[in-house]
Amino acid sequence: MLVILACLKLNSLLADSAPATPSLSLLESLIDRQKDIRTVSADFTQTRTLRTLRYPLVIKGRLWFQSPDQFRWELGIPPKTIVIGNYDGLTVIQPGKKQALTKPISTFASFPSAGSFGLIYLSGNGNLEEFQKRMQVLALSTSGSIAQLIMLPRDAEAARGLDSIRLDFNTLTGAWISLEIVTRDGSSIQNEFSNVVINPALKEGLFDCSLKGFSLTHENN
Amino acid sequence: MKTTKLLGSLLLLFGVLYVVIGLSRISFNVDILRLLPAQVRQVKGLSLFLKNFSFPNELIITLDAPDPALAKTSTETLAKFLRQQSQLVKNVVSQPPWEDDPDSLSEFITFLLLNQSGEKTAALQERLSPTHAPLALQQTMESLETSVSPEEIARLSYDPYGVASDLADTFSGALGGMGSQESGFSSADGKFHVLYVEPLHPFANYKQTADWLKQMKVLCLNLPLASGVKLGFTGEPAFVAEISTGMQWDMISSGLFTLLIISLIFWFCYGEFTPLFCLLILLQLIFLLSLATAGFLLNQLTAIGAGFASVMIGLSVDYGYFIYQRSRHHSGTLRDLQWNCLQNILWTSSTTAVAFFALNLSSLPGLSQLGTMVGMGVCIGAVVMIGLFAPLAKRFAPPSRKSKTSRLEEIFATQRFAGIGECAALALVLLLLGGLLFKGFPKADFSISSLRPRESASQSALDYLVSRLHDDPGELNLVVSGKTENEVLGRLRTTQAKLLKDQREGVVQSFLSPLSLWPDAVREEENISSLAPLAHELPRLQQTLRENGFKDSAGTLTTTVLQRIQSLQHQPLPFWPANETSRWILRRVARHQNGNYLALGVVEPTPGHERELADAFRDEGIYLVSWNQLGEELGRTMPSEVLHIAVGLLTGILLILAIGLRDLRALLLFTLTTALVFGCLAGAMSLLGMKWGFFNLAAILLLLGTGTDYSILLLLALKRNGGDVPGARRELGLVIFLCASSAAAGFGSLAWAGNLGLASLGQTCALGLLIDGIISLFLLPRAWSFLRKTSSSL
Repeated sequence: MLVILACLKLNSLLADSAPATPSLSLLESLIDRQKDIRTVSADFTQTRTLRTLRYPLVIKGRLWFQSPDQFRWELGIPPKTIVIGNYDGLTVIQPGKKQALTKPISTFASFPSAGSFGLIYLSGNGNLEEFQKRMQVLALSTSGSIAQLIMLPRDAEAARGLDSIRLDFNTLTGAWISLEIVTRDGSSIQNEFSNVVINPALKEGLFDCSLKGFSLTHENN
Repeated sequence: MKTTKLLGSLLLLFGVLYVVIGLSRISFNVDILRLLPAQVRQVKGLSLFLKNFSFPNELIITLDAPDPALAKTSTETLAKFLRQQSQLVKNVVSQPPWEDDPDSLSEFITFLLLNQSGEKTAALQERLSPTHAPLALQQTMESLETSVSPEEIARLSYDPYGVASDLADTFSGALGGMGSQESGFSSADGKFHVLYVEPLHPFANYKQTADWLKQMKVLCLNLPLASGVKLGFTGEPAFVAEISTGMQWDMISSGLFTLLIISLIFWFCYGEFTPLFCLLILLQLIFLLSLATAGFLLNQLTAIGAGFASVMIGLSVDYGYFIYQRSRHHSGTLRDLQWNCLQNILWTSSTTAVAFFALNLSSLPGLSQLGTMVGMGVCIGAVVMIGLFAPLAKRFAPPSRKSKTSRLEEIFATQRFAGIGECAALALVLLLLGGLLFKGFPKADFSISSLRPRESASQSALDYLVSRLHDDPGELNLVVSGKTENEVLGRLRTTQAKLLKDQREGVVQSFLSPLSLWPDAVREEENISSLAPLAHELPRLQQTLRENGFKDSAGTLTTTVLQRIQSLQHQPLPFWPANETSRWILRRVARHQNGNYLALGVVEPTPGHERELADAFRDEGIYLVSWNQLGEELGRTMPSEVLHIAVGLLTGILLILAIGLRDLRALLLFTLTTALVFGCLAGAMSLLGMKWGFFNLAAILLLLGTGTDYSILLLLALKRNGGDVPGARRELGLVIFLCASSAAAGFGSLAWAGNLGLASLGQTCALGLLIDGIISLFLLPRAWSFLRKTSSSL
């Protein structure tokens, strides 16, 4: 899920910066590469370092993405939380509790946020203008072939409580390396990606929700 | 001689002191509800709402930017800049207080915990028990690992025992959320921000308010903010400054305009400067004396009351005209002249004053105040004119008999002028009645906008703020009042039950009740006795946290809340939270002072059921109100009220005339003339696109009180001189012309008043007086002759 967010943030970022700056050319090339992406599958390790916890919480997961806006994100193996979504909204499923919640994307205030999901609109057909409206670039630096982008959503509600969103990516391949979301109290959620496969053949029905036997709640805007 | 001089000096000194002290007591009340009938339920409810939930010392600055990030940084820049203005500003709030200091929410959380149900308290006790506490923390840890809700992660990491978990509904439901947008600080898109600014000292009067606002605007508008950033100023200080200075301008400008018109008319009639100069000075003296008297008798001047000056000048000058006209033909002593004038003026000024004082029968306080002030001004005017102007008029009257006739007097006496006037008057009446026939009666407009200022930057800023923060104009405000907390609590419970029933029946779409935020002393006592002992177990709870992977900081909220509950054990109940964060949350929901307890909620009615719903809540202390409903209720009640007063006034006039005239024909003519005047007025209003509203309905009463004087005077003259129409015209033509034109100028000068209600009253009265003057002067005598011939031939 957060990888998807990262994509979204990145696209926003690309749109945000002025095309004339040298650093932006890196991002432009990255977004250009993404235009060729039709599907993605990846594993990730998520580390939640919260201020009030004595040790970080580490959990593994998987994600799938299909252009232009379909995604499936599983947290935990076997999954403890599944999020399936698209342009219209998302469904958060907790298989263990047999509970599911549907909500429009715009209600996902703060991180992962409505602003973050702006990438759904852009992935595969990146739109610089749309992107620019959504994200504010705080810093962009490179070290060898790795670039780190630090950004914040422009949407005040989405940015509430956030210190920054940090995305590391490979400048040569355009592949995402990690995404970290840092809150103002110093807590962070970091995702490190592995086994990233571009344009794999995805299983049919991967983005369908079968909620038979689940207690379903709808959240309105 | 010395004694007389000393007495004169003392009198002058007293007069000056009276005016100075009286004027210094004048203040303006900008609350439009003060203009409306207090017994109307919507007015009562809205008055309670505004009195208790408005902030007289809070300036609202709105900031609009093309980009959310720019809006945020500009807001921070502006807030920082304003905080540095320590000579003007006490406090600036640009974001919810708890965003900078989340710990400050613990007091409010304690308050909510103490007022939650016994079941929820029992569940919390169990969660914190030695057996269940570790389990609760394990569940929290799992949620922290797998939750995708940022709010849940933030909440659980600082409240791992879930002390406030059952309060989430209260927070999001009753408060509408805790973010900047929901708390009234920014719009959903982040491009619009709001700052609340408190002045260094509370304002003593409207002039201080206006000065402070002016300085604030200069400071803010000179601050170099990014291009595209727009600022707006609203809130109580902005309204007070804008409306008060507007009212002051209305009063002065309309008064000066009336004086100008009077001067032109006088000059046109007599062509003499010295008496005109004296008349103008005395009219200003009358104005000052009336205003000073108002300062002593009235608490505050309303926007409508402020319109008294021009009306009063327009009416008082009639006595001056009359005295001057008499003085030109008077050859006796000053005392004879004064006595002679007194006999006439006493009658007319009394009837005029009575007509205006009769406006007190109206339930519109604004109109009552206007009536009182004009009535008072007319009496003062009569005294000043007879006492001071008569000697001056006699002194400055032309010595030669030849010049004693006014330029216009002879014109009014000619048959040619009468013939042309009759034709023109007939054509005018036909035109206006034709307009009435084809266009129908003027439409009614009882919307509240007719009471507001014509152009208001503060209102525009407020409207924009409301639109950006998504307030629904169709919503009804639920205002529940009581003398004690328990009384309000009982009423809130009744209201909640009723609203739930209405929701089930489809009358209500949704509602936010303040019940969950209103303290219940009994429940607080029970919850304190259940939860306070847990404070002794804090060491165990902290230890459990550590054992389950949490740091000590994770237990801060639990510790603070339980210790606070323990400290309340021997405190008087109910407990009201009082820190800055709690006050900010409660300021739009509850008021609690001795003998004055109020709660505020919001109800969203199903479209089409607004009136039904507002009417259904009529129990004592419970009001469901909105500006729209106020307009509707007044629209239902005001016309019938004005009609009742008008019928009473007309009956009184007819009775007096029946005694005075003792002539059925004259009575019939008077009734027909009055009916024709109102018919023509309605036609003129239709043709001009004017509408009936709260205040110009009162024009009916004023026209009955003042306009009918013209027809009465003429009928009396006709009866007195045996039906000599040219003679009556010669005697009264000029007087009616002068009176009608000066009174119309007085009312007409209000047409540009900042307050739309006052402007419409001025326009309608001016129009009605002119029509009345024309019909009385030209058509009434012709009708008299016609009736006389007909009855003779019969």
